[in-house]
Amino acid sequence: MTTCTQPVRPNASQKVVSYTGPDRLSALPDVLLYKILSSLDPREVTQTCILSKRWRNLWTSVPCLHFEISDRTTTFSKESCRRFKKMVNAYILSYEEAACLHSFHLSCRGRRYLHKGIADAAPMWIEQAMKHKPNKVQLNFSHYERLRLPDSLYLCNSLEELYIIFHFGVNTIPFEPDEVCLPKLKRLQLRCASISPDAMKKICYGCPMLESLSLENCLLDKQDVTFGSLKSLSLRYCYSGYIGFSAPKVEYFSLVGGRIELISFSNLVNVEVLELRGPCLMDLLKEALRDFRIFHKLKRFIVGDFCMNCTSSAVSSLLDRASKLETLTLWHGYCSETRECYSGSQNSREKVEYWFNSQWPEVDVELRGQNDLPQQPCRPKGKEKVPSETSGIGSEQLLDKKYLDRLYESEQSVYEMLMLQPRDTDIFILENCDPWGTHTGEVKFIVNVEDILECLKRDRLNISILKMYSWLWKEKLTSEWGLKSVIVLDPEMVSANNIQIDKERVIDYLKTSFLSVEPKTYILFPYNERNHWTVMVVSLANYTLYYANSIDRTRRGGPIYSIRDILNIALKDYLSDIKIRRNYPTFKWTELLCSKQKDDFECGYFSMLYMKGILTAIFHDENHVLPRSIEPVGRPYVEKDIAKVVNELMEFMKHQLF
Amino acid sequence: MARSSTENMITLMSSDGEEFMVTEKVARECTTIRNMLEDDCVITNIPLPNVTSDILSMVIEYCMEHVAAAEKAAAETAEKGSSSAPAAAKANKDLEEWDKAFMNVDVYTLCDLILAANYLNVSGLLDLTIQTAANLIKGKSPEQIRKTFHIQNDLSLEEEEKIRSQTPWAFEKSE
Repeated sequence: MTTCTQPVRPNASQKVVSYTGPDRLSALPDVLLYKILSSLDPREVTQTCILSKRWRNLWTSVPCLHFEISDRTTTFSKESCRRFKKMVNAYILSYEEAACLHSFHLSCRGRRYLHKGIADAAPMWIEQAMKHKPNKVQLNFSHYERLRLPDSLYLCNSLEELYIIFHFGVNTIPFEPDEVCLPKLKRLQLRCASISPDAMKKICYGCPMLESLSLENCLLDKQDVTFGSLKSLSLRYCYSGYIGFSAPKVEYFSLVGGRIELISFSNLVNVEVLELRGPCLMDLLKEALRDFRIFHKLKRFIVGDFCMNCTSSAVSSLLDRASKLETLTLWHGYCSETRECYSGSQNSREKVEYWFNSQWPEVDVELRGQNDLPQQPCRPKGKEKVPSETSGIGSEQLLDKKYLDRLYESEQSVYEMLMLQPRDTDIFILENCDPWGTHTGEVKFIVNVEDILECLKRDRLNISILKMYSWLWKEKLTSEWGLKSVIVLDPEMVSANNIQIDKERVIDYLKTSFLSVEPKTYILFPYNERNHWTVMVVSLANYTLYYANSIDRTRRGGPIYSIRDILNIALKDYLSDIKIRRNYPTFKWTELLCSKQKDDFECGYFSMLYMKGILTAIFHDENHVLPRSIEPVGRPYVEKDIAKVVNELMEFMKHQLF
Repeated sequence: MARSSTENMITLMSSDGEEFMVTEKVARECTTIRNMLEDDCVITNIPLPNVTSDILSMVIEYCMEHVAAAEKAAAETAEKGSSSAPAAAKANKDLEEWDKAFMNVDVYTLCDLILAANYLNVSGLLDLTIQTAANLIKGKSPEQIRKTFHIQNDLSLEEEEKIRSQTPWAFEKSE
């Protein structure tokens, strides 16, 4: 054997001394320079064009393009928006025609009004990018409900990964491609989309190679599809009726949160990792255990809402059928059966561990949940809900500490309380509390932590917040004021989303509400459609619907709401129930004079203020009559008004949640 | 720490004729070599005409460190049954620190390392060096970049002005 030289490192400290020699960087082959440039900001990449002749055109063929703008950075302004738009436009149009784009990432987060130009231009940018046959496309948008993604996004024979991530809280925008043909697509993630059975079928047939499907905050209509090649399926915070996914090759299946009536487990027997953490855990477990299925490949089983008393027998019978199981993770918080808080005291933790270890010594038991309280109050988690396979995608940046401090000053206590919650708390489920009695047994009152944070930082408002606020007024009307001439309905029941899921139920709810009151009573509810909040007041006495809209009708083309027909049907049903037979009237729509919003995100706060204004005015009026205008009419509400209602709401929330 | 004698040793020869004897495991960190070994398992002497001895010694140093770290983690997992998360996090952090210190080189060596990592296909080292190079460019003006990497500006003043005027958005002063 020849002599062996030990690797000796050239003395680094000597070499750090400034070196003057040939330009090694420019001598690197294009492909390596592209790699270096790919991790730079597009503006910086472009600046390299004046380094030398060698660099002049490199920037026009960089294979990874990442454009990002967010109002959560300190440098954000109208001006930075304008420059961003100009830059993306120019970059995309200068991109070398023959160059191959590997990945395209466009992220536009923040308040829409500043982004209008961006929302209009984005489809063109995507269209242009798609011409370069990318492998990976990631789109992050918030608050662009009218954004229509170009068809070419769904017709691409090179695309392997597609992430369409909208940030709307619990609101969704329809996912409605004309045609899907993505023969190479392996990973698909959709967030905040409502996917009709038809669209799901298009995905299913158009993506024959799909291996990983992740749906988050999605609205799924009744689905029944088969994904032949799917290996990983993740449903997080999805809302749906029946879901029948058949995916015989699935190895990873995760269902977290949301509200899914029934999921069919047929063909899930090859699963290796199974995560069940939803509000209807027992039903899911029962379904999983039906027909004595054997999970012969299951290695990891993650259960949410675990309770030693109620859930353990179902979990253990599943364990008995999974001979290869290595790890069992139990999350506890609320018992899914008794709906009581399961106290994760040290004693019961030991008891749980002991019980599992004695029966399944080969299985590692991990307990998560309330005992995992962070030592220090932690920062808000943004969207980092649960570690998922695709974690990092769509995760929000943490906010600047100073900015946060300023924001939360006034609501410090609620903010602190949120921070003290266990890390895995994404939603609060208020047990035995159903202010409207609209849920039959199952789900009670759900508040999204993320929504509370959005509310605190004056962002768009989601249903869980307005529902809480409506509840506040319901309480006030009945307990404090004893006012009978007006009632407040559950905004979740009458939302456009719910109309889409279950029209009959909404009609029935409205009819029942009509029947439950005197004809002279006003029926008030905040209504959300296409991300816009309005307040509606039904008067059965004169078949009129009064509404307060914070946006001028000219700006939105007038109120065209899907609730219109629903209300008319409910009215007809109501009249025939009380045996009034004549030409059935329809509701006359009358707009209430009200303050108009300046910013595009404020409708939720304005609706809260309208509710307050309307209800207070009715209460103080001698005859409890609805006013035709809501004070103050001439000026928009100011920050102080908004802060006031938010504070009121936070006080109420604090009382209810903590 | 004595290595088992049964472990295969491979000799790597740099462009300037120096020989480095490494374990097969370390050599396998380089995908290029791994492919060679898989094609022909009796091979023990591999000439690497594209890599000089000082760069090759650095690549080997990198591979040895990363193989050792992986072995250590595997041993700990085997010992305790499952690896404890804090220990793994600490090991990761240590390795990151090591990488950072390892990247304390001049730009000349850095570029050579990029080339070598690309040629030998050591993905970890390639990512590390590329990222280091990108960090050296980040936040710098074109003039500063030229200085850092000794890039000769062969554009005439007029040409440079012309290019600037074609991409004005890239050179606008922020705020």
